[in-house]
Amino acid sequence: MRAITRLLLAALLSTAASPTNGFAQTKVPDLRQATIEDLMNIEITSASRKEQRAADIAAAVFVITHEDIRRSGMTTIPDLLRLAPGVDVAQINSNKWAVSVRGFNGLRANKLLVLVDGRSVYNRLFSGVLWDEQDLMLDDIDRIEVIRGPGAAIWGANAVNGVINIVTKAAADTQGGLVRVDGGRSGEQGAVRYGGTLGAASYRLYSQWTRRDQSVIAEGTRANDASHTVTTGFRADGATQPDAWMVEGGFTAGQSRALWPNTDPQTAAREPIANDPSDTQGVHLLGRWTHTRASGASLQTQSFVDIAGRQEPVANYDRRVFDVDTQYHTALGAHHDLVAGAGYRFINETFAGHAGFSLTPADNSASLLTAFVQDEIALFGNRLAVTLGSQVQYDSGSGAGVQPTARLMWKGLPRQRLWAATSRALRTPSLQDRGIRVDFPPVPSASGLPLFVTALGNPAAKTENLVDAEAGYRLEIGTAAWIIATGFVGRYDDLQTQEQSAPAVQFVPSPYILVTSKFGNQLQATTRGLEVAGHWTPVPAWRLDGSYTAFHVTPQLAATSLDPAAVGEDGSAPRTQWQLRSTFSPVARASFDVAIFHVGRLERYQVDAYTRADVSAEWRFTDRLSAMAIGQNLLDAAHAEFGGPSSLVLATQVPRSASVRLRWTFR
Amino acid sequence: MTTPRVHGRWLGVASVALAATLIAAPGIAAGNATDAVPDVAVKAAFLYNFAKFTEWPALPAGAPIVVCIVGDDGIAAALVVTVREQNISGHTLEVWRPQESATWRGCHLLFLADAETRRSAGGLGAIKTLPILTISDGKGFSQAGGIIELFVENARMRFAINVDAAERSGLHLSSRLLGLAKVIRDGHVQ
Repeated sequence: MRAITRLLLAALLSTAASPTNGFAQTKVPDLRQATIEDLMNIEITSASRKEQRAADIAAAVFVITHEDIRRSGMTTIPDLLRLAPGVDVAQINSNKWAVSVRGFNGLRANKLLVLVDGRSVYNRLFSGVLWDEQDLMLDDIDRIEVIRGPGAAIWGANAVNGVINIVTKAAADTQGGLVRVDGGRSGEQGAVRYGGTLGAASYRLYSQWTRRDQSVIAEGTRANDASHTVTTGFRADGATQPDAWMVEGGFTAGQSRALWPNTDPQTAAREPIANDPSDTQGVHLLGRWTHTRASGASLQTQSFVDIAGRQEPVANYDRRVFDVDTQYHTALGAHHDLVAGAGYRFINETFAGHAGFSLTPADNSASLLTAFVQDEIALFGNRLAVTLGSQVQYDSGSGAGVQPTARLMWKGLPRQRLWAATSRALRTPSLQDRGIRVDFPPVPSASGLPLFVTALGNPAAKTENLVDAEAGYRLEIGTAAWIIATGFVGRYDDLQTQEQSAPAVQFVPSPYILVTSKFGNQLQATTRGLEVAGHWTPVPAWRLDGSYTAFHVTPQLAATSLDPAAVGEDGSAPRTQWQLRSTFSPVARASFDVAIFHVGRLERYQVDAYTRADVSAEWRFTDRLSAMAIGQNLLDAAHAEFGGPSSLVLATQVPRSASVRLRWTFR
Repeated sequence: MTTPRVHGRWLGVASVALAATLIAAPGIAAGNATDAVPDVAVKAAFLYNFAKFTEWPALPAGAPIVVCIVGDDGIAAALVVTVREQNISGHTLEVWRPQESATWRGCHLLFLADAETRRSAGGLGAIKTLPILTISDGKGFSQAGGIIELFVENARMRFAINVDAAERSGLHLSSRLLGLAKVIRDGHVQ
């Protein structure tokens, strides 16, 4: 046996010296000739190699697992994102959320890219995500990958501050039936699913119904912002080696209320708030085909169509998206791992404004062409990984852009990972940045004349630009604990401002004062932050997860800017956040989990810091039937999480709630 | 089925070199005086042996035995080296790395790395009555209905076989294999 070992080591050493030729000439040590009895006598070096892949990526990555989702008792995607370190989730009202990472939050936060099974759910109207449309069947989500920091080199424009990648389970993993019912103070949710097989293919059909109850304006005063959504869809997967395919589709429809500012000049003075319902509809279909070679190289092509409409008090909005992209992943020689891809997207959007809102042009079509290449190079016997990549794109609306990245990861120290990266990312102007117009109803001014304010988009709006540097360190302590720290510095140029004109007195039809506010790009900002996350499993039945995030923005407004509010950007994201989660399974049938989230004060919007505590306790009667009791926001009767003009609708307070869940599965 | 050998020879060389790099890393880190062999090489050799002592019903003469590796590229690379130009009773071995559990149905032997097993419970359920030899180094895999579980005892590789799971799959495992294994039944250690 010793001879085999020596031969192996000799082969390896010669390989290290001359990776291809050396190995080809050296005889491979023949473990094939070893009998099982021989193999059982070989001493081996390590008991397991269960490195989580996330640990080997030179970026700040966190994965919310299916288990995390199930045990949290949460029923919305934005709530679930609270589980990831460094994500700033603020609930605006019962059915609207502001979600961002590394600052610049708002209802229409515009620096985060969100994908569901590779389908971008980002919206060109304002470059953000309409979270109330993302009512995904929670039981079918495999994981949510949260990448903090620029991901533009692969994912493309608008992956400026982060990428959220929601991945649903393959149909083979959701076989049989499932019925789940949640009910309590915050609303109800019901979900049904059935999965089966058809020949070599697997499929599932599902439907989820969600009703969200009203939030409160103050303790005891409800906000009339209830909502309901129905989502129905399917997914099918099949394969004949070496090809695999997946098709999924879904339909969603919902209605929600919110407290909108009334911009109708006829009624605004009498009724400052509009509370008409908003309706949303969406349908999508996605297909993906993957061809894998024996070498592990793979070619993947996917295409989707996405058609959606919204009828809100301020406007009707419709979008139609067609997307096709392809990517190839292969090893090149001994040291290169290459991914390259290209894509095309066509988008048509129409906007019919009401009551003072309009968009020019009202009908928009755009084409987007993208291509990227990324090479991960293994150096020094796989101890250093260098990743170089760039994305180039041509957008028929905003022109060409280049978004490169360079990343290093040092794996030479046992149980430790050290990485650093620098990237450039772009946020292209949205339709509203260019062409929105809002004529606000008049308000009385100090001079006695009525004051009219008009907000205008800027047809010459510039692309926002981030150059970022970040570094991370990961340490495993024993087999039961790890800690990760990430630091970053970002420099933003050409951030959006609202440039106000001097008040002008107009005399026709009767005297009034007019102030216009037009979008400009006159803000620079530097962000700095530290994100620390840790995990500890003191005993197998108990795990603790915690994180701490510190964040700071230094805005630098151009001397020529006439935006009085832009310097307040510093206070639009919490300076500190922390969370602590305990998941405990005292016996196989029971679990008891506690999660505490603390979010610092938003100075700009005068929203106080809050601490949220959630508790969930589950009992599994059998492998098929379980019940869970859930308490959310237990520490106060209600608290505000957001406010100010960035919320668009009136921000309300999130009340304490309790609910019960029953879950039944069958074959 | 497209034969995987259409790809160029350089890819084969790359796989060998990749295997070497992966295997070399812990060896170099541990210093050169050790007699120990990296576990990926040993696990790959075990997989090859398990294939040798298993009979698949209705495997056409000359058809390849498809070995699928999920979640451990090191083992896959080592296995590519191990099974090169080998055949078992006239069947060549092909190594695949399926991305989705939906594609497992095309495998004869399916290895799930430790980190993958917890995520894969549903996918395993869907194939338990198919003639697929499921193997993992994840703790508790055989009690949970997998057929073979690799584990380490006194720095030596051992394996457990769940004979109920093997029976459900319709595979025939040789008595030599069963003689060396820790034999268990569903949910119980015997």
